Amino acid sequence: MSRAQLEGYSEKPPKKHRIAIFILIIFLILVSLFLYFAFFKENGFRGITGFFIGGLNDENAVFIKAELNPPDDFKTSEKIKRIELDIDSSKDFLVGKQKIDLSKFNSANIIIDNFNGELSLEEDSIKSLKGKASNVFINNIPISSQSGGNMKVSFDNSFRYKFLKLEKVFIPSLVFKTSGKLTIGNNKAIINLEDENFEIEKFEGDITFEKNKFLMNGLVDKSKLPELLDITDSEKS
Amino acid sequence: MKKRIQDDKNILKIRGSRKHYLPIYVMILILILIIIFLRFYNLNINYLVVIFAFIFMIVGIKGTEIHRFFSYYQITTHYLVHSRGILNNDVKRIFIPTISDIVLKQTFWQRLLNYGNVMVHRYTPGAIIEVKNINNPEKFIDILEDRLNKIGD
Repeated sequence: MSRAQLEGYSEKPPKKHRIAIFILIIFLILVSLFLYFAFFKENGFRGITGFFIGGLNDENAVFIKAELNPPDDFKTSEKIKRIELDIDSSKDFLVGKQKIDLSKFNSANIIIDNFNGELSLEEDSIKSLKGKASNVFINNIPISSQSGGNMKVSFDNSFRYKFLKLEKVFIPSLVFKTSGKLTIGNNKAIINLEDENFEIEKFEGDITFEKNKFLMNGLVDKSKLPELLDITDSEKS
Repeated sequence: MKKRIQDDKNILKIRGSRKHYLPIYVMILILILIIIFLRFYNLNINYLVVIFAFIFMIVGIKGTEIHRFFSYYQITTHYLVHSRGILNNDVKRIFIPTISDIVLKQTFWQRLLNYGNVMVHRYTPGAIIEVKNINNPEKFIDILEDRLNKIGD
């Protein structure tokens, strides 16, 4: 062993390289996770829960159209591409730091783009709507944030709505007792529900609440549909 | 020797350059930019990953500062001193007249950012002290040579 090695100065310890590789690996894992959750979510994966549940892919998806009686309550914390709602009650609508008094308008048509937050409904009322959005329009007038980025949107308390449409929303699962008509795969199968359980998983599409009607238009995971068909057929026979 | 140590005066005290930790700072910056990008475009952010990213950033910044703080090189009137260690303190005191050669080693990247390693050879064969990743290594060599000449005179 050389004198230099004995003094412990001239030889670079391999430990340093191991630390550098370790730091780089952690960094790459973090970047991959960020990108994974950001971009796979758009294609059907839904955060950490969605990761374990699995997303909706085209091979497994079938088109459905439903016109049903609305559920008593409905809740989602998933991203919604656009929320459109019509209200005629006087409410304070909070957009960013602005408080907009909707009583100025006879009836207000509100559009919220790229909503990310919580929406819960109870019968014909919005119990809570709280989150962030990229754009907000009230009667076609844009409400912009001062920073130009996303802005907080919320209502101070629950209120009744006349019309509510959720565009491009993902629903991991939905179960409720209802009546109405369900069309699967462009009229390939039509099911009439009469106070029966309606159960779907991984729906992605548009949902409209209008005049005591619950309209669904979009893709749903095939795997749950046979159960729905079986239950309906057996109950009918 | 005891008298020499008592009479010793500090001429230069230098720590490792922050430029050496530039890759870590770049990684932290990339993570911050990714978070800003995801927020700006309203893309999904997993907050558990954000927490881990912040831990990585804090450990990255604090860790490099701690690493720098607990290792320094000092040129005194008679000695070249290297002190290192967080809990244990390892101090090497090299009597300047025993220095035979001073070699500057810089990679392209180090030359570009004006930092590098100085290999201080002693008359004893194979005894080399590496002054690692210091800013302005040429200035460090000048000061050390100056001390070497003055003690030699």
